[in-house]
Amino acid sequence: MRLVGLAAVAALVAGLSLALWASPPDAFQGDYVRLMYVHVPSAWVAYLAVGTAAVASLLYLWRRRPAYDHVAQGAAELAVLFTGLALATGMIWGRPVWGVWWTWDARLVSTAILFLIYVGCLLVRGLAADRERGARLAAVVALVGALDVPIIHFSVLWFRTLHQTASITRREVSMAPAMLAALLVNLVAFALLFLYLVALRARLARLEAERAEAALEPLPR
Amino acid sequence: MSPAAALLLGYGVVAAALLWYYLRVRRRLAALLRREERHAASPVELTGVQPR
Repeated sequence: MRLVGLAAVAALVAGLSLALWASPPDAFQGDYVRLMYVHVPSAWVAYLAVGTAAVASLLYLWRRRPAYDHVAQGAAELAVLFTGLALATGMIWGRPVWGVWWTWDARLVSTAILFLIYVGCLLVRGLAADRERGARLAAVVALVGALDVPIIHFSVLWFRTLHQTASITRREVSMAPAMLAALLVNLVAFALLFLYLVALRARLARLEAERAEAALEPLPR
Repeated sequence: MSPAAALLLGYGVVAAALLWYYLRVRRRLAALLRREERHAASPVELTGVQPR
């Protein structure tokens, strides 16, 4: 995993250089467009975290193997982190470009709902009477939260929104190659960082569970 | 808000959040591993229960 961590740091440095210096300013947004190189990867990796949490939760509910729960726990925490970052960077970009920090737009509201559902997922785990019950409840909430992802993704098509539609589709890429390169490098960097952090957090969860179990075992006579 | 201020705020928030999360997990992991090593030989210290 150390290699993935090092690759993530290298990709972040490369992505940052491309985003802040190599890519050109936008014709309309000027330099504010550079916020997109952290906003869009945060949002995409939030989807990745939610997907990972949902798959691991489903496997946990099915097989009841603690390893799946440890991955789900890490992915849920990272879903909160990256969704929060997508919201925060979107607001910082929105203030100068849209003129407001926040607007009740379908994309923004559905993303905020996802953030709140996953905060709830962490809360039910923490507040449950015992570890196993907490894991089960958190898995159900993680699966419910995942249903929001397609709503977020298609909200710009289903509703009349202020948020722009996708710039990268199967048919066309409506951005300059230098901008696309900065975006893709940052996306790879954020995805590698997610992989590293989720593995680290799952290891911590495994050790904590082992320690809790060891503390409950009766002493040898 | 000027572009420089917006970029500083945006990239600053991202860097601070990611670094905070990484350090938090690392610190908890390191503390747990240290405690495991210290208590490995002593079930009494691990559980806090004194044998009769």
